[in-house]
Amino acid sequence: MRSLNQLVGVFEAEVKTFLREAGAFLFMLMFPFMISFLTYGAGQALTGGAASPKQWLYQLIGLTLMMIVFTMTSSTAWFFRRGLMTGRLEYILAAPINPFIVIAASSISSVIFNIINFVFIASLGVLVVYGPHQLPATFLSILYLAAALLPIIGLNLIVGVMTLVFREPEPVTNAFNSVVAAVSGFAYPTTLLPVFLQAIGKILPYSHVVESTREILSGSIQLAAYSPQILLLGYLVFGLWVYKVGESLYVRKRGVSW
Amino acid sequence: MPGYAIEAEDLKKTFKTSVGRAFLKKQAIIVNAVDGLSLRVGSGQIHSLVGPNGAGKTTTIKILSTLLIPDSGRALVGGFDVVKEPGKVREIIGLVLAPDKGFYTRLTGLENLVYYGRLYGLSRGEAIRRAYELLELVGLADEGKRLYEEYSLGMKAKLSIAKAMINDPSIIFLDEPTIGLDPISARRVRQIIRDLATQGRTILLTSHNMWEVENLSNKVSLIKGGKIVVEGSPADLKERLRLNYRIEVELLDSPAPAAKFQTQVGERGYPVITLETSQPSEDLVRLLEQLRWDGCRIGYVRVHEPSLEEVFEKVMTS
Repeated sequence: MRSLNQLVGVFEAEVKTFLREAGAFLFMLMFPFMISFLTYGAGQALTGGAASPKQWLYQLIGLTLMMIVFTMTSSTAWFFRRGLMTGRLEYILAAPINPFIVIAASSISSVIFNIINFVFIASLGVLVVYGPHQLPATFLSILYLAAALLPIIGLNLIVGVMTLVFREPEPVTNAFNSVVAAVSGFAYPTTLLPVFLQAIGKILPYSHVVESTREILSGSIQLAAYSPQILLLGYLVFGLWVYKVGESLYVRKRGVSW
Repeated sequence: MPGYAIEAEDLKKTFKTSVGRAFLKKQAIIVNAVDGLSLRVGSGQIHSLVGPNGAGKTTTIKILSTLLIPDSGRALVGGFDVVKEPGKVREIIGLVLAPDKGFYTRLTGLENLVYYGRLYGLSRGEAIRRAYELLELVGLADEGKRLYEEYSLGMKAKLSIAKAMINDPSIIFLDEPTIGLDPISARRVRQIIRDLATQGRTILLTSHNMWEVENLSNKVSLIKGGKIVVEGSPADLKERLRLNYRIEVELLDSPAPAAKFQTQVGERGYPVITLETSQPSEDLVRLLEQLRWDGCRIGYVRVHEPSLEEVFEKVMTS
């Protein structure tokens, strides 16, 4: 009960803060449309009007998920950076709370906002391309995403620890997101990549999330095929372990004052 | 540790840092932030840690509040070991590390306190009730629904103290709680600190304001180079360091004393006898008797008590 109070308390504070900084939310909403229309328009122009709306949806979903993934990574890194700058992190560390609860609450608030974003964009895309009969697939994809994003929280914890070490979130998140963007198939099939990049893409959870979400939205659901993705939860365990090691070897020894 | 709310024994903490501008030419150096510090703080006392910048005050507070793990030594807070039982220590302490930090700028003062209440495991209802109580206590009842980013520094400092009280702690660490505050806000904060001590809470305070330390503290520890060099009550310290009192006697009409005593012209134009002494009572009585015997008329008598600032200066420059 105590942990739940703590989780909900942090979640509420994060949500209120996010709602009062709504500009970022609007950008995240518009960005996938902007880029996917751009590439769709370019495709139409280059092919003499032969670009398929399904390719537009392919891009739209990929770019939406890319924004979600980037935002989650960035908000975790900035959670730590803001914590450093504002002194909030020190107060969290001096309170009788497991820091993971705070990070989990912050990540959940970020995931919920991103999923709301996703619902809007994906529903619109599916409606335009497949028609209203395919809309229930959007809600199925939300259920899938709620679980599939957990490994990403684990990886983001590693990004968070790196932010504490390097003190600046941008170099860490930019480097991390560059690799993720290249190998995860947000805008193109990973099969176009050199083999070693494909391998990296397969090891990381992102390409699985993108491909599976596209499949669910198109109606070709293969639940059995997604079950090996449970192994990706290992990233959550690994992220937690890295955070605990980082806390005891770095945070409590060096301090987190700015 | 009966009688002591805080007890630290031979605490040591070093930080590795580097000097040099070029990446490859950086030289690692080790800073002994806390170097064998031992400290005892009695229950219900206001105990101040005083020292120059970089003396180790904040590091000590961070060790005692479980934020930092010491390299060696042992510290008990409320009877709990800060390294072995950090969770228990965190339950009973309140902490202010900087009066204007630690809050969500886009939340109101009330929402920030509720947030901290929830961090300490309070239910939503309990946290809101407690937040209102504390806003009242620190004089922010009318400002609770304003965004934190709109608060003045004085209001932020009061909110910090309210935050430190959210879990009703028995031991409170205040690291320079009045830094940067205007005199009225600082006075209000000092009054809150006094009230907290009156309620039986133990307060470990750091400050560069010697007047504040002298007026608030039951006991003062002067810290230099990461260790405590002298400690005692403000009065004890002055006595132990044999700091002189200064006696001034203004003479309105002086037939002959100028030859016996050194005088200088005072602010009103009359001669003023100035005497430095470690025995002010005896010497003042003796001086006044002598002046009466000489038939002098006295304008005023002033006795300047040595300040803690002079104690600080003497210790730090010795």
